[in-house]
Amino acid sequence: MQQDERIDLAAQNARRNLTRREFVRKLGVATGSAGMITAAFTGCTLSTSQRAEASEAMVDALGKVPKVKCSKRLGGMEMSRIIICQDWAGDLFDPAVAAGMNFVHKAGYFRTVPEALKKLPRESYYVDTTVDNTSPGHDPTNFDEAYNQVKSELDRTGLKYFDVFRAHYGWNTLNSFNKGDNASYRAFEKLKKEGLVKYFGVSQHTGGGYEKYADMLNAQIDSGLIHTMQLWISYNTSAEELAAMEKAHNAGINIIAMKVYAHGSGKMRGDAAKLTELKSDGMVGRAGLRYVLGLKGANGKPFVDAAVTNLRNFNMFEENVGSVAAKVAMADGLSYHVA
Amino acid sequence: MEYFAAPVEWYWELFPRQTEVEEVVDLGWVARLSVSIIERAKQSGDSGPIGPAMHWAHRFVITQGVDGAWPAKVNLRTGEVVDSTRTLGPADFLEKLGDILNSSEFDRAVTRARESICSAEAG
Repeated sequence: MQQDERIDLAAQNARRNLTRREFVRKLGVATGSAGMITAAFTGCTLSTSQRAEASEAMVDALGKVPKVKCSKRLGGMEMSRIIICQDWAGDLFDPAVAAGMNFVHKAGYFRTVPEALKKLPRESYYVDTTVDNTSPGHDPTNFDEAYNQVKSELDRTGLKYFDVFRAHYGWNTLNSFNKGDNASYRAFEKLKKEGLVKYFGVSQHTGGGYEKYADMLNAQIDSGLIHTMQLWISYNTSAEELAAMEKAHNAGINIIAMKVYAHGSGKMRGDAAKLTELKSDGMVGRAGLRYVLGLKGANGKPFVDAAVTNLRNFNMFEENVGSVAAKVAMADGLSYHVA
Repeated sequence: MEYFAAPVEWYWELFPRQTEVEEVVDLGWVARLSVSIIERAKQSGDSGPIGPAMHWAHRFVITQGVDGAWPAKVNLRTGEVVDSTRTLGPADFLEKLGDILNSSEFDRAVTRARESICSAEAG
């Protein structure tokens, strides 16, 4: 969403149904063209079976999402370069799994785990839980809140364990992080001993009320305790912050980008040359992901392992997942495989 | 029905406004707009327009007061609370959003708001 953009909700909801004949004709034309499958159905409401059929065709046209082998610090986890978020639209989980996405962010918030995941062996995918004692309005020194949240989420979801205990919003001061000697890490250690979590991470936010982003990241890197960081990374991120993120990755910390669209789309939308360079004319979401997942460090290797984005329908899925998916990237002369 | 998104550098970034020049916004109106977006998404089967409202929801969760309520009117650009009036409107929105997203993320905020109503009635 571009800043100051006028959003007309009535126009967004003016839709019509398709007969079987119309649907088959549109799908046939779409799969035979180089354009996006979902563009053929703009303004249409698809039935459940039509959605399933279009979804399969879309995933086939996209190809698989490449995976990156994370460092030993994260157990050599092979993580898809775009990860799923718990609050995606429910009908996107099946195509996400089919496209090879294997990590679910915020999985602790599931009221019920989607069938697309339930039918898979638990060991075949990864999940994190965002633990809220560090969220604004909570008490970051509250061990019991952190510990009990994880326990109750496992009881509710039946997920057995969380791969990552992720401190939600992170710490807002260096003092509250306290070089890693804090309630979150102590709760993580206890839960790890009980076999309920494996790795310690943070979803570090920034902005009003937070100390300088690069300082917070450097303190967390220096603690040696963090296995994975989810960070605000977009076309708007400063060079100083990117340098701290590269340093984190060089230290073996897994880096996941968030706020790619929310904070980078305005600048990206206004940069026609960048959109063209990223083979994403008219697709700001795709360009933003290609930008962050293509960021390279001094060693010439990418330092952002994966990105999470808010996907709400098939059109968004195709535009965003198509940023790195094998067939689309290859057709654009790009590759997001990490050697 | 339309709205304009506040600039990304504003305190309440990307929050909706009724006009391009508006800075002071009624958060109860934001909540009602959000509920209508959810209702439309349910009718159309397309939750695309919910995306921006999810950002608003996350801001509501982290700005809820100790009384379980929110300031009724704020300046989106500066973050200034314009008057002392409070609103519980965002709780209805958060409850409906949690339902449509199959998410417990907003449950605590909704509970705190409901407890606020109960204690006010008891008082």
